Amino acid sequence: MYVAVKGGEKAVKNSQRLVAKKRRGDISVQKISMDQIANQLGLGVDRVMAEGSLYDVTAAAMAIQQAQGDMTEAVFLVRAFRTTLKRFGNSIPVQTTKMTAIRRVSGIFKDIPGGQILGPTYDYTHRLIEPDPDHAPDPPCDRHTDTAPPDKTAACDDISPLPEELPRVIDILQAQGLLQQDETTPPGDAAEDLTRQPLAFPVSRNLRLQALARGDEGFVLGTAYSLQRGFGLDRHPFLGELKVGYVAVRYTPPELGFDIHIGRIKLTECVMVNRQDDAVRKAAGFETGYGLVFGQNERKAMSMSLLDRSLAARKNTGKTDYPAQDPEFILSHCDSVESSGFVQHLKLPHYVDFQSELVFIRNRRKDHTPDKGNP
Amino acid sequence: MLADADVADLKAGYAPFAEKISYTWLVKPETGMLMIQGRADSTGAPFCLGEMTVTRCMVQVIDDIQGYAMVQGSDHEHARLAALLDALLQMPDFHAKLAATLMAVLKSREQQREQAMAKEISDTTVEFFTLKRGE
Repeated sequence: MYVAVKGGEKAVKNSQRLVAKKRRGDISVQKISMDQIANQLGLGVDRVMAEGSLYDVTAAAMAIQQAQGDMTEAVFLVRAFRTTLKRFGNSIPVQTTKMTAIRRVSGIFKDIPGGQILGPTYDYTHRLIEPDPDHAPDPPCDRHTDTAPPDKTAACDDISPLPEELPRVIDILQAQGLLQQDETTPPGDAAEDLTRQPLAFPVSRNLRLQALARGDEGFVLGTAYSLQRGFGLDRHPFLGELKVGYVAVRYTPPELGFDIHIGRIKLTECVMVNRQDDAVRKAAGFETGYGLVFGQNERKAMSMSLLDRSLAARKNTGKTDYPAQDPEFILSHCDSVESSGFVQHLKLPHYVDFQSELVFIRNRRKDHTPDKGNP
Repeated sequence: MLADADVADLKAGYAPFAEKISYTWLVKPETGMLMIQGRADSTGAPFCLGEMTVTRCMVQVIDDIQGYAMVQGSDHEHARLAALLDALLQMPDFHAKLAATLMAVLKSREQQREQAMAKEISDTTVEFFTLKRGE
């Protein structure tokens, strides 16, 4: 039961003033700019865009600054911002097969066509905090090429351009007849949208992918980990392919009637591969799970693929033994805005609710006092 | 190309025509969102991935030529310039001039960007080997 509480207006205002002061910190230290956040905290910005479900670097950088680096709070701010914007329409589905990949690795085939491209990764770093980062020299060529005069193109003519399309690892498995497709929905053009309709179970795969793509990284990672530890997977999953890169966004404005290029966005795509024995299916083979996330966010994309697979498994076997196999458990609880809202609302006044608990307990105790009613 | 361009380049490219061109708004710049769709398993059924902030506008210039723009982000000036240039590019006279100036600049910028990225990325290509014990 919710009961309105009055009072505290002045204290609330003062508290807001205080949080603004704390956010600014020591005024002798320079303020951080949105450009600095967007450039130097890029992975944080990517995470906020993914979970905020809005690809907007500026908005995400502003949210991170305003939330003092609290990512979940920043996600909340971005979600709130997106509700103020009108939706113009749906893009044409992005073609990740045509992604300009800056990173692409496979854990199952070492000689994948197109090569293993490490790109920017922390995977092979020592993970030691570098002393005195304030005075560390800038890496060479740190200036963005945009600022170079346009006539200096001759310098790197010998570099072969990035391939427009990398062959997919999943196709290699498919060509050998090793893949089992279970949820084949015809490739249409319109998808259901969970921001326009409530999540109802059983849930289709496209809603499941949407919910996971905007789900909280910690929750998605933790539940995917539970699968790996044996709470839902009885064998080792494999990374079929992980790709980070840029794709073009295209849209057909009704005013024009033909599709136009709107911009390029960075995405992380992942395909996980699991072995499936012939006890369950007709023939032994592999099953896959899919992950696609805004920005560079590999942990999240990999976890998403594991969960996509495990949540589909229920359809095949009809069994749900573990939380990470239960669509309702995962999809209803993976949203950080919903979960933090519900947990954190407990900080608000519950004086009347609690009063009723006290009354209840006192009455019960009165009833059970030995010398009362039991002469 | 206009959508991907830097606003500064567009401004410089449009500047020589700015005084000659009068235009009226058909749709004033407005910021909204586009739902980005992906495909399950990259080629399967579409699903909603998340939205993207975009700004669109539509202008009408001389001779009833209409220019349309939708650009990433919330920069109204970017959308305005892109729409105006879109209109100019539909007129043969302006098209020839712009092709030699602005479009050439944008093209070379894009090439540079691609080459710089290709260089950075190709340096990180790796080959993994599996070893037998004793080899």
